[in-house]
Amino acid sequence: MKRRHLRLKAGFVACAAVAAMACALPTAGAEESVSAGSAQPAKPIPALLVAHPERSVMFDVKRTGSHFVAVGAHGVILRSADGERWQQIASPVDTALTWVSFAGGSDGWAVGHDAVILHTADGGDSWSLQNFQPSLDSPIFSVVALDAKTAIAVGAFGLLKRTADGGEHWSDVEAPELTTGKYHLFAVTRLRDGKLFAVGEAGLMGVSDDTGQSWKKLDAIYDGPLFGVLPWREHGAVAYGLLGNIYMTDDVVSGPWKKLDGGPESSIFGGMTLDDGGVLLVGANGTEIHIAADGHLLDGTAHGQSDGSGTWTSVAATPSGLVLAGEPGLVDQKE
Amino acid sequence: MHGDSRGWFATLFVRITEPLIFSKRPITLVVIGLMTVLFGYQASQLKLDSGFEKQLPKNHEYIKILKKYQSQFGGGNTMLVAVSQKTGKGDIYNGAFLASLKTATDAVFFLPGVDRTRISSLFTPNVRYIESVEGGFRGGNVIPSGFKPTPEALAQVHQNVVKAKIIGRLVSNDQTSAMITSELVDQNPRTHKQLDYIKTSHLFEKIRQRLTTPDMYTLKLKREDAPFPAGTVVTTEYRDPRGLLSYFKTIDATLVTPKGETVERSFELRDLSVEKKKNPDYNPDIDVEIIGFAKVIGDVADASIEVVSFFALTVFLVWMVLAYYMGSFRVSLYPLSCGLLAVVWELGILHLAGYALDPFAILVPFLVLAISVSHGIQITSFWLLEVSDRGLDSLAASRATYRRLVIPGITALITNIIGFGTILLIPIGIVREMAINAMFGLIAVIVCKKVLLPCLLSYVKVRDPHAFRAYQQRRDERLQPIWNRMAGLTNRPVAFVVLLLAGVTWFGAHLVARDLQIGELHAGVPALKPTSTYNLDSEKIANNYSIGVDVLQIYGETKKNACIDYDIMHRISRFNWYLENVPGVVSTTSMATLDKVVWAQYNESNPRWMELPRSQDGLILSGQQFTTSTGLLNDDCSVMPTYVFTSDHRATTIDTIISAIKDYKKTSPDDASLTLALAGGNVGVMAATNDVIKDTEYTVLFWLYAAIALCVVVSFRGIVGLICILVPLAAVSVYTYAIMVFLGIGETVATLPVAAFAAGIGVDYGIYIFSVLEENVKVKRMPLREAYADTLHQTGKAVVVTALALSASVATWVLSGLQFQVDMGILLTIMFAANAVAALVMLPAFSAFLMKAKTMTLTEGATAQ
Repeated sequence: MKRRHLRLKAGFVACAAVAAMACALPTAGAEESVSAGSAQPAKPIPALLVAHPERSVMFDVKRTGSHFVAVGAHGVILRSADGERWQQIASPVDTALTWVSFAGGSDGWAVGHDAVILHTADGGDSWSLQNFQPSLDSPIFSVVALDAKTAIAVGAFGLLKRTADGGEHWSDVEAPELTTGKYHLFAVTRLRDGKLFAVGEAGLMGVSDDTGQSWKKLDAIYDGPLFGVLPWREHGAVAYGLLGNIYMTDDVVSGPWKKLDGGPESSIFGGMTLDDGGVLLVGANGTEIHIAADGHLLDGTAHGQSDGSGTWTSVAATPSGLVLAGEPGLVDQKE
Repeated sequence: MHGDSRGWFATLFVRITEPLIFSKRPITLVVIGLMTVLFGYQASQLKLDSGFEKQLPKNHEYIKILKKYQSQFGGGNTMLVAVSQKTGKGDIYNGAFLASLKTATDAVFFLPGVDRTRISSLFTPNVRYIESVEGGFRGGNVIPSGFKPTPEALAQVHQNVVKAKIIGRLVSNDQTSAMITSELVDQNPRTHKQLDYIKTSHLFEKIRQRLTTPDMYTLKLKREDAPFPAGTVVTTEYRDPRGLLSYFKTIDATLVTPKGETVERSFELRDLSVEKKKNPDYNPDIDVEIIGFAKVIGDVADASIEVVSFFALTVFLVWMVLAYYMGSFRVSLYPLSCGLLAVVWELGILHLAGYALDPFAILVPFLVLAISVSHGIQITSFWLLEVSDRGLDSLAASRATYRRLVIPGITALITNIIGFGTILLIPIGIVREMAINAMFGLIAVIVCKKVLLPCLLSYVKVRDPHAFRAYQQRRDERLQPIWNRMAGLTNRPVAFVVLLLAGVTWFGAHLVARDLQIGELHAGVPALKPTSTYNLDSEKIANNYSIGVDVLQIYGETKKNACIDYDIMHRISRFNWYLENVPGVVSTTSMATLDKVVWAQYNESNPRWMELPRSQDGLILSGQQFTTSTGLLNDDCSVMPTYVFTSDHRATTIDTIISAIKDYKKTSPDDASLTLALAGGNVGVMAATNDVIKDTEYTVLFWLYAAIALCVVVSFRGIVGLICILVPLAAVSVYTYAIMVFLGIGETVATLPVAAFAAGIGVDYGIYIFSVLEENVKVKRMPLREAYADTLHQTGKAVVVTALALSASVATWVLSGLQFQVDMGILLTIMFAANAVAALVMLPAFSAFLMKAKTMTLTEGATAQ
């Protein structure tokens, strides 16, 4: 595979932070509390329209009808017809957008920090702000659009919101099994049989078979964080998380779940289903894991560990190959 | 006064000084001799010295801000040593490479002046990998303790490197090179002594040699040198220290006495035995690259010393020109040695005045030689004329020369001094120092040339006056047809064409010169050539790593504890994102951007957390590990700089970034809670310097020309002289700007003074030509054409030879290893030659229209007297 980096973001930033941490970890612990902060309620600040939006850290990229839409840090929203040339779309907020989801070609939502929920009715060409709650200090990490009216969003500290009117109203879902522990919910997706599946901190897994109105918690199979989940076969799912932990099942309700071994020990942050029934997962240190339709790790596709080219959080198929989103921005990967 | 030796002041001056100098010549010579001894001694004490401070335009607002924060956010003293596998030799994960890297790391660790707590490489304990695991963090050293280069261990190191996220910083992007970063301590905390940058640079260079040379030379004491017994190993060198002058060489070494004290001592190489051995640290598969401020200083100093060796070549070239002109190697030694004496005086006065010689100003001695030779030619030429044409004896010729030339000569020199003085208007220490240095040189020239040279010439015994005269006349006869032909320039139609051509080319040059850029036009350290080792190293590191060497600092001035105020941090973060989209910006970093990364690290390294937490607690948590030593914040977190890494420091890049910042501040203005103050970093300094050059360029040129104009008007008491002398000078300046555009030379601290130097010296040609021409026309009542032919006969050849000698004396700078010297050399060579041509061609053309028009008709067929 040949790679064309849209942007070689200086690894310096991340590295300096880690180095600083390495020195300071033993002294960690909050010691001061000073009253600062402003009295006025925070207002959303529109994103800067910039020359190189693709250089931003990007968190999600999705295909929608005829277009691709990607979201990332600094409120960057990008849209492309071919997955290669991107155009920045005006965004009402300039904080990180973490996830985007479309129902059909035109209706979709993007979510992010400050509990931001943005809506588009024109395939991502323009966006309006539906939810903004900075005082929550809780990012929304994932959203799934079921149709033009219905969508479910999940986020930190057990945030779970639902709309049934196209986003006129976003209300908190009563799902005590999932939300009372205030664990972070990192992702929500729709399985092939229509069930909704959410994953989160401490191996949290929840399932809903009524378009997200009620949720049932599943027994934990793992005690670390699960960062995402993809549909697998007719009733199953592939859940992925910290340090290469990948669990899969043919039926999310009845199980059994099995751990996929043999992959690199890198955290997985995103992925996509493939036309042949397989799954492609991406994650830290340039990790790419290809799971074939038969449920086995495909040889030679487990990058990572030696690559170190950056952390990926999302991937989508383009006419010419793949487009990856992550710390290095948007990067083309040609077949 | 000048050019007009009949003025009362001039008459008085000559009447007093001539007997003073010539009646007691031995006394004159003894006085000058004693002064020479004094200045010679002083000059021998002169040191090469360079400093960061005096390169700054102190009064610029950026620099004031820089000074305010320099001590807190300096951080400019980083030294980077990259150990790289040669192309095709694979990656760094092999035993030999890691051994070399360890050797280099240890060597850097033990260098004096290196802050041992701030060295980072794969082998230092501060470089660890950390990964989030269920319920916490897991980490360790990248190279495990007890490391043996087994395949498994090497694979482990490889994995740790990836986990430690040091690729791009301590390991190159393609993993074929690894870095040792270190910081130098400017002042020794124990002795409070300033770090010797040149020496430090050489010590770093030795590390490179240690890894890349097959042989080494052990230097041992031949006999006991208390407290060290015979056979003590003094030091190890990687270049053969023996050579032509090894007897006089001294070796500086740091030794440990038997008592355990560390001492620094110098040894004479002749007291040491040299033993050649195989170098155990030699690794044929690696290269070493070294960059950092100290290395720049060291390399510039080394290259400057190299330039000194060109001085001999320069002297030789000038001697050859003079000898051809005078027809005698012996006689030409007089003006030449007087010129050298002037250089000695200049350096002596410089040291006496408390200055050291800066590499930047090392060209001034060349200029002094050039100027003094130029005047020497005028004097010797006139003296020769007196001897050969009029048949006077040496002494009488000397006195006649003195009478005729002392006033125009001194006025020309005063014009020079004023010209150089205008350079003082550039508020940059290093440039002012250069101007002062040059002014000292001119004072030396006045004494050495105007007093000493005629005095010495009076002792010259022309052994065979007839042969000597014959040579002069033969040569003059050869030249006469040329002069006669050139005198045709005074014909009005010819003159009209000349002036028209000059006007058209001037306009054309002016159009081209509008593209002249201020600042550096090339990547790399501007002082050094693009092909210098340093710049190649720098380029290689910049290509292989994700770190930049060109950085602009913008200080976020805010309130106390601002780093836990979301609004402030968000504003800084937004500003950084804006900057990252400005062309020429590679990346930015600040506490605000790093807080996000740390916040994500605390959240299981999940990148979707990469955002500033809204809560104070979150900001405290993510920011608390950044100490003030990171350069990201000050003690009370009221100042947080943004580091902007730029792709290069070309003038256009800097301009783009600075104006983008100004635009940003228009839409997001500074207010009481946050001011984005410009600027620090090497790019900040360059931005300030470029600003200063832009601002002072016209001021300097205005005062330069005003001063020259004043001198000319006072001397010739008329507007005619002003036009005839000044216009060619101005034309050449504009041509030079056009040439700079063609050659890709920017207007910098180095090239701006060149304009002043060249104009200051170039005006001499016009003054000499015009003074003789005017005298011929006004006093001797010659027709213009005849007058100009005679002028050329008298001074024209001197002007040509002077131009040649001047050009020869600066042309050797082109061989310099320093880019600014190359640029200066090219420009001065061109300007010295062009000024002569312009004066010879344009001056008569102007006089054709402006001077004594009624004599024009009588010019046909005129010959020299």
